[in-house]
Amino acid sequence: MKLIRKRSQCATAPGASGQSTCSVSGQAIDRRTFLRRSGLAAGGAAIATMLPLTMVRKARAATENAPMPGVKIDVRHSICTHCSVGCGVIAQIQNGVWTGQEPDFDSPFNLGSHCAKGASVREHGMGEKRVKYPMKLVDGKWKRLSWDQAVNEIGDKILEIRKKSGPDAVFWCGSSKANNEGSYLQRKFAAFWGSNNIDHQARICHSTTVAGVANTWGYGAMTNSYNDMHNCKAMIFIGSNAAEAHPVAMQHILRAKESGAKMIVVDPRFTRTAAHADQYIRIRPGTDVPFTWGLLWHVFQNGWEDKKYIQQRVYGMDEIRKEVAKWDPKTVENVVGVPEKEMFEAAKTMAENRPGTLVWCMGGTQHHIGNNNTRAYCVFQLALGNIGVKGGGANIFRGHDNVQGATDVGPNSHTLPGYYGLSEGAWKHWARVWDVDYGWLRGRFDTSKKYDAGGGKMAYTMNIPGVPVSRWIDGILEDKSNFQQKDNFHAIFFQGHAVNSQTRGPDMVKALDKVDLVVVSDPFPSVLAVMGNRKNNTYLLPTCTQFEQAGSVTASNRSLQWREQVIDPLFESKTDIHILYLFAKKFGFADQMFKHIKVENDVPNVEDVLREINRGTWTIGYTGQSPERLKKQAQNRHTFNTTTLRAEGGPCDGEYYGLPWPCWGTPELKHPGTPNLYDPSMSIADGGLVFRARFGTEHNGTNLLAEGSYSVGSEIKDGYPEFTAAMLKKLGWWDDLTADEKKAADGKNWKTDLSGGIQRVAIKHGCAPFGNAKARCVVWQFPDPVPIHREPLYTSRYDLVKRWPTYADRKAFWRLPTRYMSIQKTNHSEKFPLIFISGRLVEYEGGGAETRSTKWLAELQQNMFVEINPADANDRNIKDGQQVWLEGPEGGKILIMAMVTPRVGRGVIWTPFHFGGWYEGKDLLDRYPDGTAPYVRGEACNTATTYGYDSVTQMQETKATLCQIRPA
Amino acid sequence: MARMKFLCDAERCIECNGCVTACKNANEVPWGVNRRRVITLKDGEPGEKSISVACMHCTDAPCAAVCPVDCFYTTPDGIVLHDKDLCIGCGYCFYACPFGAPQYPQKEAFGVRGKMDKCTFCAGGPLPDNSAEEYKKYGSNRIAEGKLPACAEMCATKALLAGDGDMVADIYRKRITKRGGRPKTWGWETAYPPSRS
Amino acid sequence: MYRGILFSLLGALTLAALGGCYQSPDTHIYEPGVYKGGSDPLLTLEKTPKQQQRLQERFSLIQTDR
Repeated sequence: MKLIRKRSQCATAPGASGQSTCSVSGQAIDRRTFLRRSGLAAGGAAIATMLPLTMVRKARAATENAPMPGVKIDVRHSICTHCSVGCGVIAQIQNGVWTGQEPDFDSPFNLGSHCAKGASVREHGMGEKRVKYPMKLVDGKWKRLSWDQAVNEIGDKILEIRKKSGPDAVFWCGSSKANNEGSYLQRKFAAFWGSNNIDHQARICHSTTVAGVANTWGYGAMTNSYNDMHNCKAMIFIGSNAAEAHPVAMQHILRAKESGAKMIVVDPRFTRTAAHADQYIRIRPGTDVPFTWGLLWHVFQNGWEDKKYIQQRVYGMDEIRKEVAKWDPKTVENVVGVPEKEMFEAAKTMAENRPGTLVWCMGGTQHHIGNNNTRAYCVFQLALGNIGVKGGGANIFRGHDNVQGATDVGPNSHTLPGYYGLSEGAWKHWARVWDVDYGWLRGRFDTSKKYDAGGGKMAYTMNIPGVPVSRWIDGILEDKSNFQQKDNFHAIFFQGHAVNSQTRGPDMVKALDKVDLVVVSDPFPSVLAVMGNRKNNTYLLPTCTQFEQAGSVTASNRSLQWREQVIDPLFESKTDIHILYLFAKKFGFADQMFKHIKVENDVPNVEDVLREINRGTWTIGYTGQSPERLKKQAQNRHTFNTTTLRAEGGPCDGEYYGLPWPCWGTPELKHPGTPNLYDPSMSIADGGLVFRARFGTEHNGTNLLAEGSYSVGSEIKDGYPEFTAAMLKKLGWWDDLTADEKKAADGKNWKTDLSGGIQRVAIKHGCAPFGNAKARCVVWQFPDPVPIHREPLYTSRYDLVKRWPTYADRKAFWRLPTRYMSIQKTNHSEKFPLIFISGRLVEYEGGGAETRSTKWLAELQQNMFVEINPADANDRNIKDGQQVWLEGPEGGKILIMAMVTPRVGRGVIWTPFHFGGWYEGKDLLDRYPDGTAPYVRGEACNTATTYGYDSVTQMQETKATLCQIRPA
Repeated sequence: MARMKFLCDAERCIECNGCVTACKNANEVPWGVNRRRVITLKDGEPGEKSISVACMHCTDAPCAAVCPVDCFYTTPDGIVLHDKDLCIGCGYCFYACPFGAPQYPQKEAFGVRGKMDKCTFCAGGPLPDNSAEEYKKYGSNRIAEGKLPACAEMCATKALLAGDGDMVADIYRKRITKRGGRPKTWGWETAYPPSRS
Repeated sequence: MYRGILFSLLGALTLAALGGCYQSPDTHIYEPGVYKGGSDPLLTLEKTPKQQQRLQERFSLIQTDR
């Protein structure tokens, strides 16, 4: 027998400081050892001794949530509230307490599996760090309030601001964490309040994807599904770290890999996903367009493009060829940093292994040319004929659990639910759905004056996109005369958004110090409540997590799932929609807003809300997913095939799991949902689809409709425009409508016919209601019609700026002046030579207020840190584990721990973005209400990030900025 | 009779720590005690591999061999458990264990060790199955409920396998056949030597 | 006379001292002791065929890719 002595490790106290100062002697250790310092060896014991009192109390509290032998167990089914994979959660409830969590083997998405976050969701039932009752700051001290007091005080203040400064002077922020019903009501609430100044975190997540992709082929969403990746023969990930951001997706990805699919990971950082790849390619941050064109250069050079597919289904590829020709291997190597051999190999892999999928995430989207990046990816897939096929697709992994749903029907400043936009027609459509008078609705808005909607085009604020969440700080700080609305923001109301995930920390502090009223409606105080130096007029409203309410949630693959309520609201918390109702009542529009929604004890009925969404959201087929159908699927989820997602037998036979949108027509039509977008190998009634005719029928004399390509069973054997009442008449299909349908459909189109008749008849004849067109490679309405490269505003390669400069500044863009050239004109790369990028850790989600307050997760990541290459560390005399200052070119600086690792290349540093609760070297612990500070706090990386916004969507540029690091 | 074993498929492990929090959740393991953890080799470099490690429930468990108070026992299915009432927290088992599994939660200061704690294969301890006392002292007893360890049941990529050794080996062999390459049954040679298991 | 006693004492001491240096060439193998703790009802349960079957079915449930 061998007795092996274990090397003991350095231990650190958790909680109290959150920022450890423990140093480690030079040995090579992994990230966990580096960060956690607890663990199998001696650490555990040492930590327990140093537990702060709160932890000991916590430990005792936990036993109250232990299983109760002999007590009846109620089983509830919900969906994980962290990422967009949509993992099923099974909760065991005893006496109203969440005492057990079991794997949901029946879920076709996760087959029982969970990552660290999903496996810890039972802690939501304990919630020790939650905001427990309404509170406000009085001279710097948190004071308890009753709900009545809170709603009245906040309401009176907001009404006063409205009177003085108009309805646009309040910034409302909704959430991707709200369910579909909650996020929909957030948007509706702003509409009834009379402003478009409402947004949510999709803006800083995939807004460039949604805009780029929707403008390429119709819909801005993930085309296929995680499960469909089983069918891939090749997978290329660009700026996606699925192993940490979408861990359960890796189950499907690795299954594909085991079946022989080739896996390529493209990232400035050798991620945990890259560790599983067949080929890893390290690019310089901010060079996605050159990289993609570099790949395409080899595709065109070797004639690997799918010529027939392009001829039938793609518009504008020739213009792409001209741009791609500029990106020869030498230029690519210079700009991107990848040698020809690697580029060729990747292009060849993708060309020889079709169908192949392209996955991208925040690494691609968060750039000031993010919309160019996303369109370039689309074009690459179109060139290979990979869109609209099983195993292919643009698999855009969304972030939060319901970011897809909130994007589809929720709080977006540029559109009403369902991507209807803000035109008069859009408002009239929704006014009809809501059964309110359009004139009354219009009267809620500021109609005293027109403002610059961009490029000198004047419009009322009702028809101008509101301030996006990435720019709310400028809505407070910008000179009023430059702001395209009546007045600056005097109040901000955040329901479920973490501001530490946004750039320009020091400016945010200035904005918070200036604004009159701050309201945080959230389960946790979030960084918003502690950032800045506010002493008064700051309110916390305890808000439920999704486990305390029922509702539907849309996963990344467009599937809707129903969540049962797991536990009653904890403490004095109320649900999102409950709180919205209370304020609607206070503001006097509750009766109008909830006209067709049953309200009991001030709580709106979620099923009714979903039915209203069904009644109005024809554009993207959110019409067929009635609460009844979703609940039936939840009960029969074991009958769905885990690759096709189609039910085989049982009560849901033939349906796709979650009725992925578009689920055309009314629920009665029983459309099965659309598993893979634009796949013509099935009939529309069976879930097939073609590219959407969204951009007219021709451009510059060239036909935009599909040529000789149509979905199975289509009676029109060619391209066709979108369906309208007039078109039905012309085709002689008008009499297929019932008398009632005819009445509703006359003069309407597939998007505005509330009877669904036009959609039904189109599908009956095998046609897609939205037409059958080509995808377009050239988006003529965008600043760069053909995606081109532009160096980041803060670039490390200033020598390239002359050839690939940014845009000119803009005077009025989403109501605000937006700077480009005036920032890029200064070279910062000498004083700030390191490229600064950020990303996710598997244990935390978003701003981390929730996950850093979950003890099982917090224990695993106790320190904010920065990954730095050994060469860069040695140049700066920085040792592993040492405290360092990281400073950005706009003056923000953070005190964090250095992790020296070859994971990042030379000249690039990486930090996680989930931390908060420290600011420029100072712990903000004393600013939290008692007992609500997260277990782990640390510097928010965005304190040091910089200006830069996408030229179409105002996405922030966090995936390519600069910084300098020095020992602390 | 089944012979319960753990196997972590390093080709599938993505170091997501799902197993770690699943264990915390199922057994209410306090802060600072890690019955299971994920180890990463060649962190941040090509060839990076992760493995989830806990008590392997060894055949001829070394911990049992060195225990001065004989508090260890092995169930018919090969699960190695111990009696915390007997344990004196001496730490011998920790030195004997090739996997670093034993943990010592500490109640007081000045280095007095608490009772040893380790992975129970979610099979509790020597108290009535799924009683409140058993849960408090040892955590859940999923085995008695006809379930398997929470860590493996919830593994994100089904990398961590727990169950009858033959069935585990079957699954793993199928994967190896499919993807090619040599099996790497990390820890099995130490935990389950062929001559003795 | 005393010298004789002294020598014999010294001899005895030397022997004793050298004796202390003796080590058995055999390896001592520690045999695990017999478990002395409380009884666990699981030991009986585990032997039942029904329990064995339940665990097998559970394993298939987890590991099936359906």
